[in-house]
Amino acid sequence: MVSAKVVGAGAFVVVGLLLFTVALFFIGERRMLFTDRFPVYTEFASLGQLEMGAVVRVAGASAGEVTEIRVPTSPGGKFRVKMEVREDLHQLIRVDSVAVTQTEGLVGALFINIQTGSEAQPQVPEGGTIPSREPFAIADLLQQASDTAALVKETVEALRGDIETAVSQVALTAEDAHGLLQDIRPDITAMAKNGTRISDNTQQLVARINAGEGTIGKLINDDTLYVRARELADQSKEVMAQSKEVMANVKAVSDEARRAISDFRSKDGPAQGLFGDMRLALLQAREATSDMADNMEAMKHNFLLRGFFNKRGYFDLDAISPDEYRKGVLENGKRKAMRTWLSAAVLFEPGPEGTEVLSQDGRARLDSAMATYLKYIPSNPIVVEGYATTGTTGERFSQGRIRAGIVREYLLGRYELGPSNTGFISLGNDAQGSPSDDKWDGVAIALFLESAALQFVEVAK
Amino acid sequence: MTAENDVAIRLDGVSKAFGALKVLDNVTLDIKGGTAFCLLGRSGTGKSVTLKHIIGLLKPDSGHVLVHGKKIDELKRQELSEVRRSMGFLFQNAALFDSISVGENVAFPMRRHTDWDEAKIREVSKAKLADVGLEKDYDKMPGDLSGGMKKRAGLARAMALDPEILLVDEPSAGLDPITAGEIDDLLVELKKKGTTLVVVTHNIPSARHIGDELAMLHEGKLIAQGTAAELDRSEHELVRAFMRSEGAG
Amino acid sequence: MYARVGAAILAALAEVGEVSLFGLRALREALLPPYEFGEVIRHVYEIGWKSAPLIALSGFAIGIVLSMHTRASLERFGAEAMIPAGLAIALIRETGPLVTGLLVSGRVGAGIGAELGAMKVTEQIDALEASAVDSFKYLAVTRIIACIIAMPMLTLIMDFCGIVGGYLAESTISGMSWQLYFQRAFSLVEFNDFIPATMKTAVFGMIIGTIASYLGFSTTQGTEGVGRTSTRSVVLASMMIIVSNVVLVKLIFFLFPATG
Ligand SMILES: Nc1ncnc2c1ncn2[C@@H]1O[C@H](COP(=O)(O)OP(=O)(O)OP(=O)(O)O)[C@@H](O)[C@H]1O
Ligand SMILES: [Mg+2]
Repeated sequence: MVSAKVVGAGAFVVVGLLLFTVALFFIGERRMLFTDRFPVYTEFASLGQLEMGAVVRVAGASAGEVTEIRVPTSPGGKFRVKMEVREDLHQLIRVDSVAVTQTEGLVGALFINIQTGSEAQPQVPEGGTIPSREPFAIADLLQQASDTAALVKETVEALRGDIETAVSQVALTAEDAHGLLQDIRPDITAMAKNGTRISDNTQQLVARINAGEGTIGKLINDDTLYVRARELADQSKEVMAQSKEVMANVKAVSDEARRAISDFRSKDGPAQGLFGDMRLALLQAREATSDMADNMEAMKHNFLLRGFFNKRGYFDLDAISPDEYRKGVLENGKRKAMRTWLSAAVLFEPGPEGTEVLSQDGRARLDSAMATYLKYIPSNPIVVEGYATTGTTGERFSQGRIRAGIVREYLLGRYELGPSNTGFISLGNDAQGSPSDDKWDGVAIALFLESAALQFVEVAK
Repeated sequence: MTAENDVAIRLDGVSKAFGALKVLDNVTLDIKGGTAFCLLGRSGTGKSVTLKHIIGLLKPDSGHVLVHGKKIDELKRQELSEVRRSMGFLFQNAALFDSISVGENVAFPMRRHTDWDEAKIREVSKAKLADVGLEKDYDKMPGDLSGGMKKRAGLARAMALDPEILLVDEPSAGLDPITAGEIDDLLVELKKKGTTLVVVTHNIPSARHIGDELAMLHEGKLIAQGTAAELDRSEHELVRAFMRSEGAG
Repeated sequence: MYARVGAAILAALAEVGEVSLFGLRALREALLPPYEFGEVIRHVYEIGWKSAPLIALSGFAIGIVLSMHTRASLERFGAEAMIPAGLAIALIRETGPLVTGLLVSGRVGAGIGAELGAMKVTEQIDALEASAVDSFKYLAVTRIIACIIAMPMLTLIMDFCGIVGGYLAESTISGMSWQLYFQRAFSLVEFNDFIPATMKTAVFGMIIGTIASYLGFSTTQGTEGVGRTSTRSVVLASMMIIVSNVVLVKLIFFLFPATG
């Protein structure tokens, strides 16, 4: 009678103690209380939210925990953090290994990641101290990038004037000397294009950085992001330096051009050497502007800004081919395009040198088209689509691009639209859904509207 | 008249009340060792209460209870336990432990207070059950016994350690006359072996048979005390009426 | 009117006082010989082993439900990988101890209250005393000790079965492996989460045992009284567990601040 109960009670207690031990072991195993460990130190001026017992990883591998945090003795001092690390990872930690605080996932706890050191350096001794990188504030870096970009913008605006004068002066010069024209025309065109690209990109960048900082900075605190933010700040500094170089180059070009003109008009006729100098200056200016434009392009594609804007539903049209665009990549999900078709005959009148400029009538038509769109901006992006029907395929695309560019420029200036959500694209002559047989000569203003809002618009019509 | 150390149990001016209900009122009483004392009285007069005072389950509001000269009501737990080990108590309702078998009930005091081995405990408890005619019911559970059988099992448990003092509360209540007679014989047997008996009973013939001394409790007081013959001649009408009754129970 | 309310409050306070003294006396007497090992073992069997199936099954069901809830909330943050950890933390820190406490106070509290109450009204407790046995020690102390021993064990069983139940729910949805699940489940659990939370259930055990034993010992008025004792044991023990849990959680945060 008694024995069955005693066995039951015994079994019960054994099961309980077993579960207790297993749980202790599981927790202990995770904290590696039962493996060989060695102490290593690092120092942080600011702890972030690092706590005792925080996990330590070596190159991502779970390696131990923070066992002590010593408070600095003076305000200028640093917190000394003692970490106990698995002995078998010791050889990965060299004296140049850097300890970085990181967050586990989006909302996880803070942990210390020790990056593996370089092969050439000796192992850190037991109880040694390795360098650290402070937990950074991404907002600071973004601020830095933003400030630089604003500066770049100012410089570029000044620069633009210079480039224009330089180009026109060169052109003037060239008018007088037909022979020269053929040689320098590509340089001039390229410079003009770079100038436009630079000023475009600067505007977009400033807008993006301003919209992005604060939001992302508060959300995420992660190493990749740190790297990107650093990159962004560095890129903007580089662009700044380049813009100075460009400024100098462009100044040189216009000086050269002025000199060339005065020389050209002098009785002695043009001095060959001078033309040579001018061409050199032109070449340098072209390269500098092109580099700068490229850099700004890269900056615009920085993961930090791109990621944010993609999520918000904004698009980088430069990364989208006309084909993809026609297939409706922008309409994916909940957005649908709403188009207003405007023909070239109404919008444009002939400008100097066979170019097109917006006519008075054209502006009025654009204004009335925009009147219905304005209330959906900026939460819904606008794309100006350029179309042309004359010439080769290449010519059609290039004319379409120019037309779209002109219209977009007008809209940006007139309605102070954000450059990042007012795009433009050339689609050649292929205008599906246009009023005239899937061909169009002119532009269409496409509003990419969220479906819910779209229905509302249709009902309102 | 008797030497002080002959007195096994002494109630010295014991009073007890439950709230407003006065049950014992300055009761004084001596019970000599090796004798049988029968306590009579109408239902609800405090006979069971008196027994519980003797074994220390109840404490007097005033006065003292002495067992072998020790003041039961002032003893520490340890000493009280010592005294109780030499006593047996049959509860009016038997109070068998209903989670263990009848045999284990009888064995319980032995398991607690002796170092006997299992075989001996079994043997002795079987013998005690046989004394009350329950040798066949060793493994039954108390819930499966009749009222009279419970009473007898309770008596077997009370006798388990061969106590010097045996307190029995209505031993023959609910028994047939033959069994009741056997129980009376058993008690007389025990008395002959030197056990001091305190028996609460309503069965006058049985009291005459067992008791060396009888007493009657009425309204908190002992209104008569003495041999059966003395009580027959009591000046109290109630006592004489009681003594004339032949009622079993 | 005021007098009546006052009297009621005084009576309640007196009862709290009596129960507390009862519990303290039990703790003290548990340390003094003679020790009733046999009885303690018997009650560990009755209270612990026999409650184990109930606790295991409940733990299992709670694990499944908790897993579904954590999934629903963590999915929103794209933190599905945290489901095992979230479940384990919730179970080990709070749900396991509290639910086990309430279940045991239902099953065991009622049982002890009724058993001792019946023993009281049928004079079996007096009979024990008459047999020179310390009824308090023999009946109450042993049960209280058994409750103190059994509660943490039962909580561990609840935690374990809960985690297993969570695993079953999780593996049917995401097909997560057993090893990965367990590793993740314990990825955030610290000693400070586990040990104090499990040990605090010993206090729950103390509460259940003390209240039920006290009420059992003070049962009057026959079988009706036994029924009342049984009900009151469950009500009072559950209530005291919930109330004391507040204090215990606070105390644990205070004594083991890293848990916060
Ligand atoms: N624990 C108690 N609390 C309150 N009252 C009690 C208690 N025990 C006994 N009484 C009361 O004391 C009185 C005497 O009770 P007792 O049991 O001694 O009677 P009795 O003489 O044995 O009667 P019966 O012959 O019916 O057994 C009764 O009125 C009873 O209600
Ligand atoms: Mg009675």
